[in-house]
Amino acid sequence: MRRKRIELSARLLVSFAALLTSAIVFGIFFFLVSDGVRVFGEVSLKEFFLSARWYPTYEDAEFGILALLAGTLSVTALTLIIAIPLGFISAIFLSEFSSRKTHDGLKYVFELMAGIPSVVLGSFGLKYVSRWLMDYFPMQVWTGLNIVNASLMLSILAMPYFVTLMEDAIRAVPVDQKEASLALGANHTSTIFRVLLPQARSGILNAVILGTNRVIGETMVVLMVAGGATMIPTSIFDPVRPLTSAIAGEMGEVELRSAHYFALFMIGVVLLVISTVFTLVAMRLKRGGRK
Amino acid sequence: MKKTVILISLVILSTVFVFGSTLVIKGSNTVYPVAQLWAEAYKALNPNVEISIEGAGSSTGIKALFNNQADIANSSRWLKSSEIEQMNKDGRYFIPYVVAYDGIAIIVNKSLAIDNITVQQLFDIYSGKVTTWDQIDSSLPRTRIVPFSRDNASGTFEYFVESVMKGEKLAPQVQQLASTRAEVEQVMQNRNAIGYIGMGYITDEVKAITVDGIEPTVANVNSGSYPISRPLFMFVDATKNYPSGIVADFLRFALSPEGQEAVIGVGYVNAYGTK
Repeated sequence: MRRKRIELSARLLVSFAALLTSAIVFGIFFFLVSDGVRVFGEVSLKEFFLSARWYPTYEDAEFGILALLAGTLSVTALTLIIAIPLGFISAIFLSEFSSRKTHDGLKYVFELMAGIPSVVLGSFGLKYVSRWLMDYFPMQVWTGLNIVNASLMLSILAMPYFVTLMEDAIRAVPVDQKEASLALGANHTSTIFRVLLPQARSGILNAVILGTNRVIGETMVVLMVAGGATMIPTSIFDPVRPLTSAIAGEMGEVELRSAHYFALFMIGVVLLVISTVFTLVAMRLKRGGRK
Repeated sequence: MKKTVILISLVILSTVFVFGSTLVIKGSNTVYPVAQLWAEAYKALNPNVEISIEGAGSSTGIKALFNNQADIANSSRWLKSSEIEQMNKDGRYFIPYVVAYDGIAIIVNKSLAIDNITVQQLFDIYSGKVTTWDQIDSSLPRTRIVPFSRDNASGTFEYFVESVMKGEKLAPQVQQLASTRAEVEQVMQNRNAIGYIGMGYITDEVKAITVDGIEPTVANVNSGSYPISRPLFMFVDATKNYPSGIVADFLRFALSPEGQEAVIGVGYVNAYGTK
């Protein structure tokens, strides 16, 4: 009898925790949407999404987020192009080719990397990386704060996610599978690509989802080094103003319940939708792999 | 019964007493940072005094003065004609104290051979009508101008747009940075950069150039000859009598050499002598 009661209360507790988490997530979403949609009382849907003119504090204010959206997408894309292959290769190296000593040493470095506060990365980009970019590419770079600078800093931020989670995924493949492959005469490389990676696919995609969402949502780094220009970039050396830095830079002084205020909430909704869509697509891919 | 009456009157009296040593300051977000410094320093000297400061815009501050909801109204502008009419109608009388000046310095990289710029040229650069330095002066290199600005949440941005841009929008390629420090850092690094900062933040790392031939100095701002500067006010209600008590003492502190020293710390220009 007593045991049953404990069983029941434990189950209640667990389901309550799960419900609470989802309630909080939906609560945040609801609160964002209910404030955000009110911007459409003053700005048309078309202008909000298709205009690149973001001038929220002027007499004749304009609220077009296209340039901000282009900022987020360009910075995120370049970061993924840099960080995913690097992270992937490092993960394979760590799980398959490194000696115990190098493994532990490298792992320690990645853990340190994960601990760097984003404001420190931002200061580094502002003070040093921007100077280096202007010195080494004087023809292409007209300003040191640009997409490349932001993506390099964000890569440092995202790499530990990609490396550690991908390594865990590869290591989680049962040893007998690997041994069976080697015993059948396959060499190490083809064992990795034919046996380990297909098995680890879902874990690797998971790493990509988590790391990418971290990159999309990162605020401090892009606020400091992405350049802050509300323009649609035509080169990777152009400055941009991603969605997150618009919220962070402007929320502090915005007039309560003004069109600008609601527009910033709507930007929050857009960010949430971007990462949700991305997660759903990646989960689709994950399931596709299991069949 | 008697006891209760005494008790209640005591409570009321003590509330009055407490309110008597409370100073309510409302108004301009531009004046806010320096008013806050003054309040902190003043509280350290007079621990019994409570000071509440709210930054909600100059108009809100003056409205609060009309409604007797504030002792001091901070304002980054002179009274509007509608406010003066209202004052005449209500038989009220507010007096202004100039507590500091907000001056904007134009900074460029030290290696750029330019020493003066006109307000019109600034307008052309920031609105995107002019994009290379040789269009400003033929002796300058034919390189792209890289203009920097503060975030649109900043009071400096607001004043720059009002005084230089006359409300015209900044070009998309103007880079809005989150701090003055970031702006100075970039102008220091980038040979083709131009930026604007509060005059109190001028450093040797960059070159502060003259505007319409006038140097950005304290004297030129105080005399009104420097074109991109404005006085910052504190208004008090003097309908019944001149400010007295804590209001007067707080203003005295703000205008004292010690108070004026704090003005420079937040990037503004002192209106009177400093320590």
